[in-house]
Amino acid sequence: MIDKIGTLRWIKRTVDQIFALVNSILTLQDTGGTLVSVVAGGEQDIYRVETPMGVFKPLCLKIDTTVMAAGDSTTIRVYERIRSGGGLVLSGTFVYAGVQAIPMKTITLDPNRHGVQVTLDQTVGVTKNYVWAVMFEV
Amino acid sequence: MAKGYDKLSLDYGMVLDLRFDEGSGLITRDKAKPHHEVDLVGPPAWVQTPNNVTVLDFDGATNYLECPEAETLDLDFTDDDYSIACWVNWEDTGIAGEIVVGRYDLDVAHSGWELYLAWNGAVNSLTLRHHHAGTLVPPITGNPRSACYSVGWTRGVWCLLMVSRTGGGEAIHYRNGVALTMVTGGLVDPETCSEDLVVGVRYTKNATWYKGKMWGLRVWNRALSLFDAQLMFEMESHLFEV
Repeated sequence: MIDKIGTLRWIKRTVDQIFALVNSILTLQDTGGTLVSVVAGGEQDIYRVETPMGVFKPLCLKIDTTVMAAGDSTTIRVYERIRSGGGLVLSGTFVYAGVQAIPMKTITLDPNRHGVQVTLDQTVGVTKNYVWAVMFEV
Repeated sequence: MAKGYDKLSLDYGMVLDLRFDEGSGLITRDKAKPHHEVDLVGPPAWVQTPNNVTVLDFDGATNYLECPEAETLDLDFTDDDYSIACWVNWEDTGIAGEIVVGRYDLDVAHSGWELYLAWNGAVNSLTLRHHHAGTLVPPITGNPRSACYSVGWTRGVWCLLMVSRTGGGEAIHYRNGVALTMVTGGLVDPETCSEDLVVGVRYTKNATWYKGKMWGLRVWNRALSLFDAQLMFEMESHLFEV
């Protein structure tokens, strides 16, 4: 009986270890939405993960600037946190003005463990609906 | 190496996947393909558990989530299969009945569906209700109010709730991956509904508040199995030390 219980415990531990390994494999997924810009209203969050559950891997943010017209100016900023409790620090700024010849913009994001934020700041022009999506592995 | 979200068996048919990983702000985003944008009203507090899971904490008085009716037509289950799962750690509001999630109203022609926790003395129950506006007392005209419920939903501890409903048939409740004994008078199919999707509050957004913490609210357009319930629990129970 003891041998059988011991065997069952060994199988349970093995299965648990397999589950842990499978869980640790990152899963490619996405999210997205439509951001209605507030002109000269400051930065608006597009995508934000304050405290990831563990190491995760943002890949890129796609944003459709087809809606931009002459006179519009929009800035996208990327912030990253690289230590627990630290601040979100600016790591990239992308400025788009007027009609875009290539409307679909791709902003590359780096792997992260402590937080990432992408904002949109339309400084000039008329309010627009920006469609966006983020691809990431978690 | 990465797995593909849509290739995972549990993610097949997922139409709402809220993991609350933003940790800040007034919007939480759907990781399922429809990308529903869900607004925080109140708002519920972002809280991080000792295991670094970011959850939402509802105050039981003013906090809820909402997504407009027009953007949740894919959650308007009428004669369809559907399933709901969520980690909850609920508390006493002093008033029996706490809506977990619903897309419903009390209009006889547009009743929809709702899932709520309730306590009555020592009995803590989970109820899936269809056609809330239906009559209870004979002579019943049209569809009666219908529901199925399970008991033993202890307050103040984390547990994974799941309900799985086959269109035209009954629903099965699961707690922590275990199928529960159900009490039901027979679930009629819900009518189409013209109300917003609500989380943590009645469809009128002014009562039946949910109090406590919540994580990983998911909805599928298919009936999940016992195996799915067990798999989900095995994959996530360590997050809440259950």
